[in-house]
Amino acid sequence: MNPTEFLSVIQEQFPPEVRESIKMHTILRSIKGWSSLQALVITVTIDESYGILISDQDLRNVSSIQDLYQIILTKSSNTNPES
Amino acid sequence: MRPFSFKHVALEGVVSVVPSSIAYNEDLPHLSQEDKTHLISTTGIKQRRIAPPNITASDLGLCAAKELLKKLRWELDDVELLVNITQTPDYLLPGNSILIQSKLGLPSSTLCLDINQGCAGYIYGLSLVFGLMSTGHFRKAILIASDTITHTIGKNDFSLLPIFSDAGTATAIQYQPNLSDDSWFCVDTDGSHFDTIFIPDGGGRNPATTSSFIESSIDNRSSRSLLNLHMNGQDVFHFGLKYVATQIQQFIHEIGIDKNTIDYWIFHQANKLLNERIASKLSLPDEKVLYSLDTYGNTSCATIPVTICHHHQRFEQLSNRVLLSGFGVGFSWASACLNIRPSVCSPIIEYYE
Repeated sequence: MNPTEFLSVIQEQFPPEVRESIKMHTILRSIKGWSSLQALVITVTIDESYGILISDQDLRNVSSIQDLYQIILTKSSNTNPES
Repeated sequence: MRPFSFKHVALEGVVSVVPSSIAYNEDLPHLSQEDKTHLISTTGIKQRRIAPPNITASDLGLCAAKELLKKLRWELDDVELLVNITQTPDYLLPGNSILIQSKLGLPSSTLCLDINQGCAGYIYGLSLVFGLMSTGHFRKAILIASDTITHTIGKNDFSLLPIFSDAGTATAIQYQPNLSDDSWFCVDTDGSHFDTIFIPDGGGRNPATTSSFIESSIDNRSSRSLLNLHMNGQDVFHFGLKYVATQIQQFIHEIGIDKNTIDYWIFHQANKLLNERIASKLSLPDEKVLYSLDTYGNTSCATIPVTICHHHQRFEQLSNRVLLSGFGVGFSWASACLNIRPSVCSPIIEYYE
């Protein structure tokens, strides 16, 4: 996983007209169409793509897509990634 | 996860009843067309059944049990065990099994039990009934799984309103001494997450007061009171993704069942996004995973029997090996692997008095 690939995975979960405006520094909650339902879509996508589970607490600690990427990197390096 | 099994018990029939009132997610007033399309495609829920305030879980369960007895031609006196699962009982006490025993006209000798369980409840109930019946001390049983969960949702809680729906179901279970099939179960609970799906007030811990009725905002468009259902969707997903597929994988491995010999997989109908991911983790073929979400939504403990009845043609003529799995409030998660012989399984019917 690298930041470019990760950004692309996240962008694909949003409507085409929004995707280009989404960058690594973009604040998740500021993305047009962001909602609690969209958070669940992102959670499932990350589980599917990287085998990493995002908790409610993780999401509360996240502001930008870069933050989310960092959390996934940290979880990937743990011995029990699904914690 | 500790599998256990019972012999000499068979599932003989299932009836599901829903209220006649339909709510369409396409008609949700608070969402843009774009948001509604996204909601429906993500949750998989197009419409839901809503019980009016004067129809309770015991009404729906009673109606289903009456239909079931009629279809099976069972005598009332033959029913020796009645187990009821609900989280929306008519009264704090007595339990709905007792109300239904009387209204159905079952003998006073009927063992009546109530289980306070949600989306894993049907499997909990089945395991209890199968266990009691395998002793041979009970010959015929009815298991009711019925909830009017929409009655617990705040009228301004637009995060939960599009998901939940009402239904009552009745399942007939019979002692069959000549039947040697093993029926397998496993049940798990982690009560440290009790407040992920819960109703804070109105019980012994926080009795209802005037402040219990005051709504507070959840986000910029939804609010709910302390007497309404609270659910942290993100944590429910975390739980569902982490535990359900893992339990099922361990379960079928430990009981020595080849995944390919299972004819149908029936999961609690939570929502399409979560259910499809669980099915994908298990690498299941689409045609073997049954759904009823689009038409009946998430009916809490009733979703598995509702799904069986929604696909009734598949269960009327042929024997099927099924894997059932429920997960939710608690957290609790439970699975069962059963052979269902050709059984009385009617299309879903609408409630009548």
